[in-house]
Amino acid sequence: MNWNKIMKTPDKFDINIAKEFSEYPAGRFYSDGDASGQEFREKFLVPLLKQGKDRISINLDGTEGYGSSFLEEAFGGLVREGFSSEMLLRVFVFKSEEDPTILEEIQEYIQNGGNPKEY
Amino acid sequence: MWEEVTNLAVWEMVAQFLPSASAVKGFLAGSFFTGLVGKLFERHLKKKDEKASGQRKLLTKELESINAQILPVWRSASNYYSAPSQDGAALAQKVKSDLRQIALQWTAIKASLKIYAPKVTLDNDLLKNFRQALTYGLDVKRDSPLPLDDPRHSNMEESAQELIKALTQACIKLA
Repeated sequence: MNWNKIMKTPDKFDINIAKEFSEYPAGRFYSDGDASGQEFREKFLVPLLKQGKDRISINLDGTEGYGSSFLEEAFGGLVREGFSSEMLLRVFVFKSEEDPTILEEIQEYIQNGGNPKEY
Repeated sequence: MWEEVTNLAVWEMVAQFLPSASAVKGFLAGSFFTGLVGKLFERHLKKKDEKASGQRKLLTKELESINAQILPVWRSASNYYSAPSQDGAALAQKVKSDLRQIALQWTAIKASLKIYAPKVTLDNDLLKNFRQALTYGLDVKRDSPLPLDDPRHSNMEESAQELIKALTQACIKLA
């Protein structure tokens, strides 16, 4: 993580998942392999939220695609950890020119956080 | 003599109601100009119609192209879930890449539809539901195949059929 960047812009932070995390995000838990939703949440999202960032911009473009398991665990998992849906929807700014439907999907996971849709 | 006077008076009366020579000239020039503008406008509209029609044909082809990808990606996902997850890493990546490709085309087509066929719309929820159904357990460790009665199978099928139906209807509307 680029901690210098955080120091330079204390209230805002931009994350580009493909560049700063992985081009191949995959799986839900650490046990599923590298670059899981849990890893992204614990290494990126939770520390930033705990620092009280006002705005966290997340660029989702450039990866080789996302599985819903990754997205649900990364973002829905935050609500299960105790962050409120309202706060998360206020702080996060999601960007994707490649697939705007992903943004709707993530918002759904945050709103339903703690109760992932059962199939 | 009297007749000549009467005729003159009659002609003068008639002349009051006739347009002057300059007015006739102006009218003719005006109608020529109007005709020319009309022709040019007509040609412009025809060109515009031809362009719109060409774009609609192109959009129809692109919609058909997405439609043709739905069954194969659904099949790939079904194959992935029919074996333990560790056997399907490459297949899982293929499903995600194919879905990403479909999403890219979907986004581009939606932008074009807004311009060339605003009455034809594509509901993002259909693509979202399809991706969710196919990838909800993707890359998640699973030591055995997904049971055949697992609701994920029927979810994949239903969302694929809904997407295919919507894409087909959009093609029909564009035709």
